[in-house]
Amino acid sequence: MTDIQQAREIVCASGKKLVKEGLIARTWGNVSVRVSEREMIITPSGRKYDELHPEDMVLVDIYTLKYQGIKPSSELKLHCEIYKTRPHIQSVIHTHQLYASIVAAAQKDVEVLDPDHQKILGGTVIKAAPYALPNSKAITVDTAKAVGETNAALMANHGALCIGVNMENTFNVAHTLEAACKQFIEFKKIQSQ
Amino acid sequence: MNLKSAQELILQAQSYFDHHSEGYQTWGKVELKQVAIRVDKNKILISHPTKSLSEQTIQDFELIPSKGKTYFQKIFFWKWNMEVAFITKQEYASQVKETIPPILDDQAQLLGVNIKITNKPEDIICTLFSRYATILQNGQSICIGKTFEDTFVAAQLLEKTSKAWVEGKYLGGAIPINIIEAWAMQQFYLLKYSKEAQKNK
Repeated sequence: MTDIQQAREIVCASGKKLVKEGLIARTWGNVSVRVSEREMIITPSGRKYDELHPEDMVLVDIYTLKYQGIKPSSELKLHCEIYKTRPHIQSVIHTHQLYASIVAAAQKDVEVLDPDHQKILGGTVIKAAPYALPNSKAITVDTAKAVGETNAALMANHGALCIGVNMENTFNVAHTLEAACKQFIEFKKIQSQ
Repeated sequence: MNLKSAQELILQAQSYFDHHSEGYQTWGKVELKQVAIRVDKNKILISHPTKSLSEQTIQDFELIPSKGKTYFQKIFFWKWNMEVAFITKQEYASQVKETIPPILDDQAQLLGVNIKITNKPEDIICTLFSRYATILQNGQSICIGKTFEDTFVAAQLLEKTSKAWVEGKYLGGAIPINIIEAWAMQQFYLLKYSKEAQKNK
């Protein structure tokens, strides 16, 4: 577990990194880190990442959703659901990354073709949760179900969710998912020719 | 915006694009061809239509009335709350020949319920009605916004959506979101998020 101040700094820096690496844009996407069995630090709602400071990150109770100060990301329920159902998970990022979004727009599961990708993503198939409105109960429940015992899920017409044992690991999951989705599209392209 | 600020913005347009495109490189290639900035209610400043933006000086810009027959004039005359417009050449958007339905949440929120093809200047008020990007028949695109940054993001998002539409065909095709839900999402984004951002500042 990470202490609260350290977690604020990690989450803030990770938000900026997500933008820089093209995994999200503007105020989309969100990042969190677990700080205790029942608390997490998450990015605030409706703010541009490049304008954020560590003190803007929000401490949220995973079980009651209570917070103090700035309103947390509207996808906080999804983060809480992951922390509740996967106790060893320490960080969660929700991205709008390109290749995952392409597969998510087609509402297809990803066949993970590369064995190295399978190890990092924790499965041979990364599932796509059915389409649901953002911030709805359905998107929370269905996405957590699609993650299952793997480390990622697609969210139909929306983006992706990546989880890990620390932030570095979670970024690795996001990049690996991107590579796996790109490879899957290339494979389907060849198949269709 | 005054004339001097508009001139400055156009002079810096290419370097803004180069600097901010870093994170969007995987989304596809977006080339800025021409910029138009509203100076006041009746006038717009436009960059040279064919000369590279990085080589242009103030002498290459033209101050034109906002009422007229060109794409930019139609946009600025009818869309009074828009301040910036780009003509772009985009790798994937240029391959799209039909309306793209709402296939991604971020597309629906920022660009509008769908992305239409514009055949001639007279059509652009319809194709940009409640929308922030359109693809021209010649393969170029027009993106609009209230700020330079909004317009830049619209151009990048147009490219991401176009890529999802084009490449999605190999996966059996992108499946659209219900158009009413897409419209509701755009309204939600425009109202709630802008208020929230203000409140959280």
